[in-house]
Amino acid sequence: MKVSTAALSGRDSKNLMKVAERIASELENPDFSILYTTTPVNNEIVGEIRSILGCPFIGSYTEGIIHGGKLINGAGAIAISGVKAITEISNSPKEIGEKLNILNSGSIITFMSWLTRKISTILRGLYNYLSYSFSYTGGCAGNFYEKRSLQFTEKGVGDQICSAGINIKMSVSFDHGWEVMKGPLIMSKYSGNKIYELDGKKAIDVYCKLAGCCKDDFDECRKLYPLGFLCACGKYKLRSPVSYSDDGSIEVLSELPYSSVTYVMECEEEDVLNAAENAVREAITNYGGNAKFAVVFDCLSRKQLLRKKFRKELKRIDEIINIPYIGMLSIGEIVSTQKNYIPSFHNKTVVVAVGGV
Amino acid sequence: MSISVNNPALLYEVLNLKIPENVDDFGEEVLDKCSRLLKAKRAYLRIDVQGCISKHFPLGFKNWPEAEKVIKDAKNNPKGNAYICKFDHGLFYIETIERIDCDWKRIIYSFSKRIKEVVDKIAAECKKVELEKLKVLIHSIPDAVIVISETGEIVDVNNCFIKLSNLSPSDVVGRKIYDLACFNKEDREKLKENIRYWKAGNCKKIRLVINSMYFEVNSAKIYNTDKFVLVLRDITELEVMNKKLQTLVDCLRNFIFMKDKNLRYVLVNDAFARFVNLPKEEIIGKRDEDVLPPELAEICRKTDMEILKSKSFRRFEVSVKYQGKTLFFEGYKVPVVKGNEVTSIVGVIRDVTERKLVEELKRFKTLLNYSTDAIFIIDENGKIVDINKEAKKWICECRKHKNECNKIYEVIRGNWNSEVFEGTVAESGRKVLVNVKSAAFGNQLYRIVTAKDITDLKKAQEKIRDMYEQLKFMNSLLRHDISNSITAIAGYLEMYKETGEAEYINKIEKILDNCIELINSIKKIELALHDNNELTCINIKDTIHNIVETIKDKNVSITMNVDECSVIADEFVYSVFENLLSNAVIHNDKEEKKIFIDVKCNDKWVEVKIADNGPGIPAEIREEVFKKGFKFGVTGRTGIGLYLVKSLMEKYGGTVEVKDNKPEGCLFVLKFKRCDVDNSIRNSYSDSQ
Repeated sequence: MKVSTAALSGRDSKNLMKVAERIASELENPDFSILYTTTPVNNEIVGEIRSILGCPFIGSYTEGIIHGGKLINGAGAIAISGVKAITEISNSPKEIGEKLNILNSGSIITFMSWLTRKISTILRGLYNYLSYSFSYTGGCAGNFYEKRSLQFTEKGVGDQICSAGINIKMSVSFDHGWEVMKGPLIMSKYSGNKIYELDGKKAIDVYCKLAGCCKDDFDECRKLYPLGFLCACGKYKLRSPVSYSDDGSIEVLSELPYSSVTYVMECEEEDVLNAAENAVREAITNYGGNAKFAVVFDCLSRKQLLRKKFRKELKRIDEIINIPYIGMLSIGEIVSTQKNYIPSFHNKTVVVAVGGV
Repeated sequence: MSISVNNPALLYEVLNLKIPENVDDFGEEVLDKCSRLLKAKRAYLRIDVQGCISKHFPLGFKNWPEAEKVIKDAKNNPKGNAYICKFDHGLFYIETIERIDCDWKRIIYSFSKRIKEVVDKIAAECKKVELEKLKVLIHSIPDAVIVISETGEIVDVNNCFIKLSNLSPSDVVGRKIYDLACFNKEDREKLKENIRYWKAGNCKKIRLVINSMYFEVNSAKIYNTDKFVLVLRDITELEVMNKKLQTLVDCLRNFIFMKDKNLRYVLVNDAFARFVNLPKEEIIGKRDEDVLPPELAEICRKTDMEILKSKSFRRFEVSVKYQGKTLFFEGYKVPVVKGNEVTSIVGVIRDVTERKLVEELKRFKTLLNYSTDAIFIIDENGKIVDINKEAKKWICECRKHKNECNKIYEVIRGNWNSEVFEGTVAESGRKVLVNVKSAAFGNQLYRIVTAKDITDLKKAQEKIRDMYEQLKFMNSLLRHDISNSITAIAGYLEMYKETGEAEYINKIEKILDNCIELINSIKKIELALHDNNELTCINIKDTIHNIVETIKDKNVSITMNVDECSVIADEFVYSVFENLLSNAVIHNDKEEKKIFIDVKCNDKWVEVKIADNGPGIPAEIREEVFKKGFKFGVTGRTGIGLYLVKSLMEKYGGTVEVKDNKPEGCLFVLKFKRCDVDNSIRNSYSDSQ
């Protein structure tokens, strides 16, 4: 197995092609590639890349590319040879599942729009066709501020679900660094991605009280104090509050678990930084074999929280990972672990997937 | 790090399954908890409330059949990481990543129990809603609806049925359907019988009558209950229409039927049943060969097979020997096609035997109409069945006088026991020669009566007879009178030769005059009686005047009182007056001979009286004077003068009689038919006939 990565700064749409040319020339005949760009792509660019790479690839439009311990505004890519890969772009998990199931086992890397509703249902749909024979990773791509999402494979570009399957079962790990501050709180009234009542009271009032902030400070407060939901693996699934309404409801980034209890989570900056490090270590350790490459999904909200210290997180990842890798800023992360085969959707989390021989 | 089963939040979340508004949300919630909290590798939830909900929620399975298969395998080969919970309305399966230890088993058991509780409640709610819906549905259906239990007990009825049956809900609910008074005895039995069919799942339709209205009962089992819903569709209009149609079909003389695709009768009319001499019920379900005469059955079968093959209309004709008779049938058959298949055959068969006979008779009748004889076809009772044109005239004549002329005996009288006889046509009295022959048409025996009008023949025969008599008479005159006269002449001639006395010559001349007169009279009679002179209007006054002029003498005085009018006669009327007036002169022994002529006219008749003052005619010989050859007294001459008068008067339709004249002499009274200027002679003549 050979791996090649490359990245170029600058908001030039041709950078993606240049990056593709570089990795293609390095590996000569890559079998699979993952590409990221901070500049929107179109079918013409995808067509060019297809002719450059000559192999299945998957990619997304993102707010930042993680490469070499830095956050790059431009284009980045990783190319792998010595694997078998299949990609599919569709709105139907069934279609994707049936196509990728040809591999029988391995890993699934999925990009989907962060504006998509019922992400958990989509992931369960994929799992119904691919089952526990595969490990799952990926993230919601797009530009949070532009409210835009673009994913692509060699078959085209769109806002549908893009998935790639490779015949290597990757070790996937995640961590976020948040701990329980207050709770448990019973979601006494909720619907979709809105919580109306916590413990029978207006959600915003309870949240602000427990987080020790007022509604005016909600925008800063929400970055520090996400809501946490218990998982059997011992970790908590986070949901980032996005806004609140006059009816007292809090809207979170994606759908809420059913009839659950929730916690108000808190963090120390150092714990957040350590979490990224832990995720990398756990992924590499759990992989066991000869790790050759890694893929990183780091939540955009972590960058917003850590600000300048975000570079520190990327540097720590880079120091520990020690294998070629590429990463992106995601708006929600997809992960299935050795303790939880069924893919789940997380917020404010670093996901590291390691693969190799 | 792993969470503890004693974590209260975990326990709360696992057991906190609320009764959802949406079953899909419940399935998602169960699967979410399985994947997030229960370390599930695969899970499956099936909710199956019969007739209400059927949902499958697989997690880690491609589809629910795969899940069912895995569960079946797991049942046969229990695994340490799998748990199966089957409940009344479904099944829950979970397969975890790790082996399920006791603590987790307790949690999963509690979770399963909670799922079962929720599903039971969902099922109960669902059934309740369904029943509620059913109730609303039943009451909103415009048809009458009855809900019954398996035992036939009425559970519910809608308002339509209440209105229809004139019963109150309390009279109905709880009672057996076959005990309701609104049904008649036969329908109650039918309902009792059908409950077991409905119970066995056979949706057999039945027909009921309530208050003279007809209903078709459609049954359906209510899912997941032991109840049946019976919908009573009002088919009164259809039934009445059907009955009308059946009545109409039954009224037709043609055989009407319908067969199914297996060529078995499903409908026949009365005419058909009468023909095959079987009740309708026995014909239904049978085939042609079971009910029809073999020849008819064979052709019916053949045409049916052609129709099934061609799916098109067929017409056929066949003659059949049936019950000793030859019958002719004409049939039409039409297929009823549904999709591409013939579902039934509708047909009409007509008995055209009579038509065939009529066609034969028509040909026969055409021939008959050319005959100048009257031809009647009569049945065994003498009733006239058919006639030709000539016979029709006779019947019309008969009907002028009588209402009923339907039997031959009423039209022609005679000896009907003979095959040939002379008869008389009723009322007109015309003579006919009747010939009677027997003949068979179809299966019926008839008699053909040929009647020839022989009236003219008879008249001709009489005329010939008369002429023969006259010839005999004339012959006798010639042989006798003229022979006597010749003998007398011969005697007088001998005497003259011997004596030379002129007296003998005078006697001979006198005898010769008589002979000449006799011969002239015979000639007149011949002309008057046998020439076909047409009768016409003769002015009586002029005729009498002309004759009077010839007999005028100084010793004869004639007194006339004559009206101006005409009579029906011919030119020989002259002989009538000449004979009578000359007799009045010749046979008068008075010196002054007086003759009185009186002519009076009335509306119809002209009466002529001729009287004299002569010796008169004794009463005892008055009847004899008009006979041929009668001579009376010394003045008697040929003996045929008055015979000629009588004969001519008869020819003119008039009369002549002789009476005593007062105070002396005799009186001849002649009655002529009057011939008016306005009326034609023909009409007058016809009246006299």
